[in-house]
Amino acid sequence: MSLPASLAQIFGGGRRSSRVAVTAGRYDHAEPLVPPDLASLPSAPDAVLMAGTPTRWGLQLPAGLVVVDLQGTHAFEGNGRWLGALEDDGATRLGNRVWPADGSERQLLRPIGRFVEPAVQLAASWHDELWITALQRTAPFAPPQLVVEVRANGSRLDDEAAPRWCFVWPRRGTAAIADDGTVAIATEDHALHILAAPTDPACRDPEVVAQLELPYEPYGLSATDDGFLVCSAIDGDVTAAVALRRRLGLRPHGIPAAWRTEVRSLDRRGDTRWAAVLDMTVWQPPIDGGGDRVLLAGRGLACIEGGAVQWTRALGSELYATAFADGSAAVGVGAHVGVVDRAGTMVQGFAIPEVVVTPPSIGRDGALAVGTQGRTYLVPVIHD
Amino acid sequence: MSDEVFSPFPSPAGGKTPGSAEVLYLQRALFVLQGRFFDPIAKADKPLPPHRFALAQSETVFSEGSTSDADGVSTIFAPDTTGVADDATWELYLIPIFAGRPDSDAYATDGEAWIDLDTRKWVTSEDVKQDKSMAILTTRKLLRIPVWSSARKAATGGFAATPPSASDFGTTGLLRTSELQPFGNKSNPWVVQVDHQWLRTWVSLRCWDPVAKKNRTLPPSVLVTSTQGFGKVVGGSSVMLPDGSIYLVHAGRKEDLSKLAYEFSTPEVSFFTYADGKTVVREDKSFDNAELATHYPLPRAWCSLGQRPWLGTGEPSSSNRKPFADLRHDGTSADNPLSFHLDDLVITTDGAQVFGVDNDGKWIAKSDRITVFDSLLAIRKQAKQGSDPMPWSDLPFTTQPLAAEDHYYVADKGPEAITRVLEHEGRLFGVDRRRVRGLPGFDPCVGARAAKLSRGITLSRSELHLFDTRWVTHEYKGKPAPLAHVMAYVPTFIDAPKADDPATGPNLARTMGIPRCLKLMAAAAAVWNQGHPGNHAAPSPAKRYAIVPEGGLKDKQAVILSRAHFGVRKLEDRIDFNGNVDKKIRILIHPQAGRATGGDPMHLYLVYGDTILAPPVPNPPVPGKVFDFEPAGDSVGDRVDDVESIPFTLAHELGHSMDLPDEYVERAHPPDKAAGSVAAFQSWFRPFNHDFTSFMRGNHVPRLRYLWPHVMQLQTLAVADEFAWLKPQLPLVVEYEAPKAKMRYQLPKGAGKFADAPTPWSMRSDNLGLAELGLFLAGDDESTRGPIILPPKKLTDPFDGVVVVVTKFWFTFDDSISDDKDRWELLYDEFVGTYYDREECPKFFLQSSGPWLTRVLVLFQPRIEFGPKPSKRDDGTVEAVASADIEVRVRKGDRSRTTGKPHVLCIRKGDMGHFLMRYALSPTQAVFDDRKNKKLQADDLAGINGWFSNLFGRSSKVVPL
Ligand SMILES: [Zn+2]
Repeated sequence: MSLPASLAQIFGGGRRSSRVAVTAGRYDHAEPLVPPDLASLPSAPDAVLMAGTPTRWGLQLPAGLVVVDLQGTHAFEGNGRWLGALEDDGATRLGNRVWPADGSERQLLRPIGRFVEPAVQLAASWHDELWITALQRTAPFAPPQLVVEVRANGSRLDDEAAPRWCFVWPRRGTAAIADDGTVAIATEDHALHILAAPTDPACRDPEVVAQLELPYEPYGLSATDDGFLVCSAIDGDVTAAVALRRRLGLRPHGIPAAWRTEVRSLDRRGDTRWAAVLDMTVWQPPIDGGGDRVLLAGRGLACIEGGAVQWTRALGSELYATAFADGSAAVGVGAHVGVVDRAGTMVQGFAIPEVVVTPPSIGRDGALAVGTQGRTYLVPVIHD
Repeated sequence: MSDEVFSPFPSPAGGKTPGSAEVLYLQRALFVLQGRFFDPIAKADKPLPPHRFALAQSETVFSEGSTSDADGVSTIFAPDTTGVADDATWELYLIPIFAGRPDSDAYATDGEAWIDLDTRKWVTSEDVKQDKSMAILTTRKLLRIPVWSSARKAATGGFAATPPSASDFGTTGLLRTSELQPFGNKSNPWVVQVDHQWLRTWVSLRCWDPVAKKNRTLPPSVLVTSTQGFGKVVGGSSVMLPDGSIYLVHAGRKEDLSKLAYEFSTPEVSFFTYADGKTVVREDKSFDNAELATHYPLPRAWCSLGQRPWLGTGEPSSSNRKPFADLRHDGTSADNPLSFHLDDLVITTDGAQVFGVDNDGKWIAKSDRITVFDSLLAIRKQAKQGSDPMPWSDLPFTTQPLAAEDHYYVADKGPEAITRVLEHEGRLFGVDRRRVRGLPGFDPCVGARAAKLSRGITLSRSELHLFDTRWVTHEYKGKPAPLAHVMAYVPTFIDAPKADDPATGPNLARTMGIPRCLKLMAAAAAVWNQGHPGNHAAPSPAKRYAIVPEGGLKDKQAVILSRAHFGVRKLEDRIDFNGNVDKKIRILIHPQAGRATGGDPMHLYLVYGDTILAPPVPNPPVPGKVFDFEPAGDSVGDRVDDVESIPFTLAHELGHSMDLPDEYVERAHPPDKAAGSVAAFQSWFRPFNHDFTSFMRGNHVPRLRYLWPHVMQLQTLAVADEFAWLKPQLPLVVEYEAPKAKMRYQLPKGAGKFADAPTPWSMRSDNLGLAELGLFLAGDDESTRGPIILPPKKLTDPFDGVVVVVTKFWFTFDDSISDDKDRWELLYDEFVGTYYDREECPKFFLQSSGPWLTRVLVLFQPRIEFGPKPSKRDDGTVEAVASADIEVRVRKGDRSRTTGKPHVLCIRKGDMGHFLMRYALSPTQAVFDDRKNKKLQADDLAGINGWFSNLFGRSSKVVPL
């Protein structure tokens, strides 16, 4: 089985749109995740991060990252709302900081100026020593800017041969990075840009593959194997504050807003494959269900395949989901964790003590982990 | 005067002498009369207390009757009419008999006498008065009877009965000599009802009892008089009935009393206590406002003119309130009294003039907007637009006085809900125990509660007011403490200048910007006021700051809480105050792109732009969904308390309106698409630049130090008599017990080299090498506990000083590096950016013995100009290399160094690094040649340490953090 593109997005955060290369196991209970040093863990994380090894996991928090390994808990903090990642080689990343697994000195990824002023990191990836990151600048007395920076990982600036390009759009929005380094950004002015590396490596500007105007305000974006998926809010009465939280990937707690959602599938050139309308408020970015299948999680769960809505399970309460390799999904809804099959039927499900507030994280063996208002729970796979 | 004559002579048939006594009749009896009045307690007509009637034709020709008996019956004998013309007229006079007095002269002299309804005796005015004044408190039931004669009475309603022989006595009150025929006898006397057809009214004086949490009537205490025009008394009474209403009879019928008004006055500093309703006069005239918790101070003078009473014993409401002029003659039955509320409020600038009403009583106020603050300084009945609270009350200001039930108390609520402050059109009006002054019977609303213009301290842009509410207790650190408030008041007027109107289409700053700004004013106050009990919109958790005595809060000492209020008025001009009209603070919203600035006026822009005071453009840009001044960006939890917030530009600018300075460095602008914060040449020294959570740095949350100016102002205010209670609490500190740190903010007085009253932003400076050292005092607050220098979550002991190290570097480049963004990133990433990255920056402090400046943080704040694109200064000029300390030329070829102004260092691009900062501190050839680019170490700060120990003559050392 080849890994879907979204698995490359190892970052945590509310913008997660992951699908994993495993299928659901059999589950029957949840147990609280307790670090070896018995330290108390921050509650209500944005996401639970599962590393390649079951002994290392972490919590993505608004202000940083807590990593748990055999030694105990380690806190990493950023100046802004930065994305964390647990690398397979044991390194920990947060924003432009990298802590190598061997305990050697922390590295700062350039340009450091992007991370000195407050910013929200929207997306990031490493491929072939290339660092790609998208940031929403949130500094006061500065215009809102969505910035994409692409740099050779770790290069000093006077190394002029290293590839680098930068794109700045003076709006607020969201971003997604495909595994070939193509970047899409969608902004509050209904603009969607698809950006690719310039053919001349000395060039400082990307190739703008597509620049389109969307009919509605986009807020959720994810990359798939061969394109991008966009969620837009159709109703016009979404307040600025709600719009902002949505774009920043913040959870909807306490915000009663609701809207109908347009879901749009684009190819890498920006051509629309299909667009569909859901009569449901979607919070999470579109979830790649494999093939041309998309899962949408928000006030319920829905499935669109080839542009046709296959099923909708509108609930009115918040649901979080992550797709398995076969297009079924792990879900957290209320104080329940479960598995929804391709037909939209809850085939496994059981109660946990608290309300789930993160998309389920799925480990290599299919184990699930969810964050709640008070704790983090592991849902192990039952082996017969 | 000892005649005991009961019956006319000859004795009528069946008449009997009392006790069968042998009576000697000296004269022929003419009239047997019974003097009567309406007794409101018996609710019936009753005999007058002992009195006589006299019949007089002139001063010398008269007949004075006998003293009345228990039934009020007395006799007048036939006068000697010898030589008196037949048509001469005679008038009947009432003469009260005062017990223990030789004569009744006082009655004529005073023009009145009083019936004590408990003792049923006459009382002279002199006996009623205290210190020759009617400003009295009494529990007696006194009813005024004016000087009474038949002629006067005939003009005011006539008589219940007239002698049959009298032809026109009923209309004139006069009898002709020929008409002096016997009338009346003991069993059927001539009834002289002294108050016949006189207007009788019941008046209820209500007040709010915050302890019982209900309205009540005044306890028996005041003596109410009625007047017909200024100074002309027509009635008087302290007769309080069980329901608390006071009965009055006025010398005249309704039609005789077109100007009827009620008044009372009390001795200076009189009050009753809520607990027992006992009234007291404080002889030494002292009264502490803290006593308002238990005492109700009575108005010194009160008058019904201009008030808004209602009829009946029910609760007042807007539907039953009417102008007194409309109810002047009402209250004529015991069960339907005319009710006044003594807590009705009047907005007044001078304490006497009723604001908004001209001399003819016409309403002339041009704005109907008021804000009513209760004793917690919460806005009462806060107005809303949609779901957004506005910074004023939904209580239109269209009449004075303001009704107590709408503007003073809240039904079923205690003292905390009582109104303390009103705001109208840019001014604050304090409500405590003051009353409207003026001439009773002449000026309107005398004695109503005065919401009197509060002076406070006028600062550059804001006003600071101390509002004593010590009658309210506030739970502070688990203990109840008397409460007081210090209010930073910013009066504003929000406008969109016409000059900005675009060539076509609407000015969006006006159509959208103003409403958006308006709905954010209360939201901005809510983030500034987060720990204040009057702030219902506080986040949770919230910062709870308090100003307390240095030694901690002792029993009965007030905890002083700070509240900001950003008022929005309807009119551009503020209300005149001592001939002072201004437009403080105009908030101008512009459709063109620009950079928001505080000040007066404040400028806000829908769209961010780099330009300060951006001029109008013909085609303004289309604004984004979120305007530049609105809350936007990422939420951050504050380090010591997890208080959440998102950046809010308008709230920051309002910080300037509260006279707080900026705390961020003025930044050099990176070239296109490049990023990074670094101070430009024109920046100022900014000790808190790393703590971007601070409001005046990064628009997130308040800091304890922002209240330090309040503390200094309070020390000034404490000398005023009004705030004498504060004096024993000095000196003050600002305290905040956050979950992770208990902080007390205070700057030392008289610390060497600083002025007597230093602020957190006062600096003294020196030079060292090519650096300028700016030294600041610091106190214990959220910044000095960590964020001032340490990365997230890390806390430390507070720093009590900061030295900011500044050198101005000018950078130029040759084509060894050609792209401007690359050039910027070279200088930023390899050198200067490190000093602006809180995690990466050098972290050292100077430790010494004290008593102040024992832990002085060293903060490097290099300023740069990017030669290819130098900054434009706020005055419009472009920065020049001449103002640099060091010019750095990045180029190919040989390295070189020349001294002078500035020093010029030619380096290669690979040389860029921290040796430049070392050179600034020690500008020698050796340092230049060394080009040591490792991060700064403690050794590199030796010069700074030497400067510090020399300056204060104490030993100190550099300690890494
Ligand atoms: Zn400012």
